[in-house]
Amino acid sequence: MLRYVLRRIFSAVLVLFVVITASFFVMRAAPGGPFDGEKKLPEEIEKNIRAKYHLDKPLWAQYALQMESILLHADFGPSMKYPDKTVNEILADGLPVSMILGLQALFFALLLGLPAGLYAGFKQNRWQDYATMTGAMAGVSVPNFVLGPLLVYVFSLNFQWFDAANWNGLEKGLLGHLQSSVLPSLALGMYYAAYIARLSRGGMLEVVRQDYVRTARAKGLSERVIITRHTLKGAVMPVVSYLGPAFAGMLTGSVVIERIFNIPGLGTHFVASAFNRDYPLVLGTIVLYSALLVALNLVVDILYTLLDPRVSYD
Amino acid sequence: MTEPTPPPATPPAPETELAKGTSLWQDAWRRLLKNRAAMVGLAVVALMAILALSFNLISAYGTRFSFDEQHLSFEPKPMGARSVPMHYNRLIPPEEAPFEQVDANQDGYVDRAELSQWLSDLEFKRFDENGDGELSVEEIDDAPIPLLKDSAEATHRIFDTDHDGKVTAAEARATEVTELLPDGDARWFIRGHDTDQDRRLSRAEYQGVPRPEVHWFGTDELGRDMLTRVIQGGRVSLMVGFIATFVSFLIGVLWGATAGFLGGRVDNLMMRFVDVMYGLPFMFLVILLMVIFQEMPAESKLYLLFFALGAVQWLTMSRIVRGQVISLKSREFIEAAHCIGVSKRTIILRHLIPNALGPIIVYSTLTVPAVMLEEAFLSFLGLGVQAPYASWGSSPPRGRRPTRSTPGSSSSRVRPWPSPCWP
Repeated sequence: MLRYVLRRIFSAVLVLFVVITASFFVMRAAPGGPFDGEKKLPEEIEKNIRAKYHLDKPLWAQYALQMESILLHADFGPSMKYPDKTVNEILADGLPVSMILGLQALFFALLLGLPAGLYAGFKQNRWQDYATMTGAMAGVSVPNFVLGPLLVYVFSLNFQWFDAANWNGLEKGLLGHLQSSVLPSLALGMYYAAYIARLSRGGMLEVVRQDYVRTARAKGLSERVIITRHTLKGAVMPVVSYLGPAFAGMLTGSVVIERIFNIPGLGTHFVASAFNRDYPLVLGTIVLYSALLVALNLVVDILYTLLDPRVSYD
Repeated sequence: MTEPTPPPATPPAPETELAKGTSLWQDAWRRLLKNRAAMVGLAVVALMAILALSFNLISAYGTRFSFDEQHLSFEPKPMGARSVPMHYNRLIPPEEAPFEQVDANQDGYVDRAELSQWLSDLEFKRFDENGDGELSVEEIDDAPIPLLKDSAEATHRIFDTDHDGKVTAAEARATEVTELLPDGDARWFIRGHDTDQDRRLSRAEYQGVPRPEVHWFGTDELGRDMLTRVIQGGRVSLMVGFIATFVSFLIGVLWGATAGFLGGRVDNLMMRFVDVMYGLPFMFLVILLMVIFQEMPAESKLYLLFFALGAVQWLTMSRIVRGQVISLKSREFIEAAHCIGVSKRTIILRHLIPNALGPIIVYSTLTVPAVMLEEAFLSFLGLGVQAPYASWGSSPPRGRRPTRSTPGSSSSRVRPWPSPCWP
């Protein structure tokens, strides 16, 4: 187990290294720079600015400097577009917002998808099954950038229950936070809710055919006990292994959702910084995203061995 | 009409059936035909494909608008609004093209042939800069026409059908020097002004105002016909879906088959590479790539998009193919191929991949919608398909714009769905 974890961590470092290198050079290969504005800066000033951000050094030296400060000090340096802030500060502001959004979406996806899927699996080939699966099909098919504006139209413009495009945080209390965050989490989580419903239905179908479930029935256990004690754990397994990719997908998807709902999270920063050629901020967001994804996958894989003793990595 | 016709239902004589047997493909096809959901899906996809493929025809004869012409109104027009298609106005105003002159045979009507000839002569006069009634080599070089055979001299020789060294108006018309749309222009003009639908214009019709056409889906805020754009967007989306899938198919199948077939250290190395790639947040790199090549021309960006999206999707494919190949390669027919000395390359391409095709096709069909969604996702961020082209992802934000400018109080003006292209 330990060996496995170490190997995974090694491969994670490799991934991060590849990510940093790839995005560094792709970024620099692009036409345009962070200080290209409407007006051309005076030569002296531009020279000073370039010197401050080490842009006057050869490319490999910039790369080495960047690598050193990221790997040794976990420091992404100052932002080139917002001179009064470091990239670390911007990330520290954006990360919690994105995480809360992602976790709420995940919570919502599980809350809706899991029971629906398990129920459908238990009622296989009856109308409840068909109804749930039709809904799940629709959920999988509708992209979040269609669902988002639709939700806004119905629930914030028509009924005025929620904010249309806003992020309150916890400043206005829990209710204020929910008012601004329910719609984006719904829009972000709907696809995953639908997918989880399909997965858990599949898991349920597989489990209820197992011999041990038949044995439990033969012993005369009540349906409730069979479901909660015998089938639930096995049926949830496919969902657990999907959680990693799901959360990863939510992080990616939040780029769009944050744009639709005007949420100051990582995704907004990422797109804006890429447009602005804000090299350090782009690198920072990408590295942070990759680190999150890699860590998440690792956690899920380890969780898997704990839940299912048949799986082992040695 | 979109459903593929089933094979003839006449049952063959028992002997021939025994002699022929049914191939795997026929079996699969028959089972596909029996599956009602699959047939409905196929019909929908086929309908969209037909719409997308016949986009030029639809734009010319159906909606009458081209996908990028604007009828400015600074806010979206509702379904059923009308505008005069740009083509209808493309002619010079009537005072410059008097009815009497255009009506060559003086029968009181201008028909398409007359108008087209008049326009073509007009074009000729424009090209004939020194006004000597013939086109010289230099004039052909100056004229905005595609040169045949790469040089003005050669083009001149081709146009000069009677080889007397002069290109006259009649010759130019015959060889379609002035192929520059006069015929199409004439057709559009006549259709736009022809109120009694007799395919020719009386004097009143000729001098009247052109007839507006319906925007069946309304317009976007730039006054572009939504129906035309939806179909054009479908064309782009389907193209991205299929081409990017094909790219991922190529890379994935070759990578997976090679790894699985060679095995050992090479396999290990190749699959570790795939593992590392799996960890990459690929969508972000694609976003980065698209932002960075923002200034590329729209067409070449489209190609970049195909490859970027295809490059994201090949990983799972290569894993599936590798698994298939590993299970196939110890089978007898591969051994037999080895024995008779077939090269490794041929074994992979001719024996292994065709036999592993089942799961590959299934996964490819799943890749198509995934890629289309990713393209829509990028286009939504403004990074995918660039203006003036539309795609199914670039339309919703346009539909969303009015929600931003009209707060709740006037929400009645907002269309109830993000854009009419998502039914």
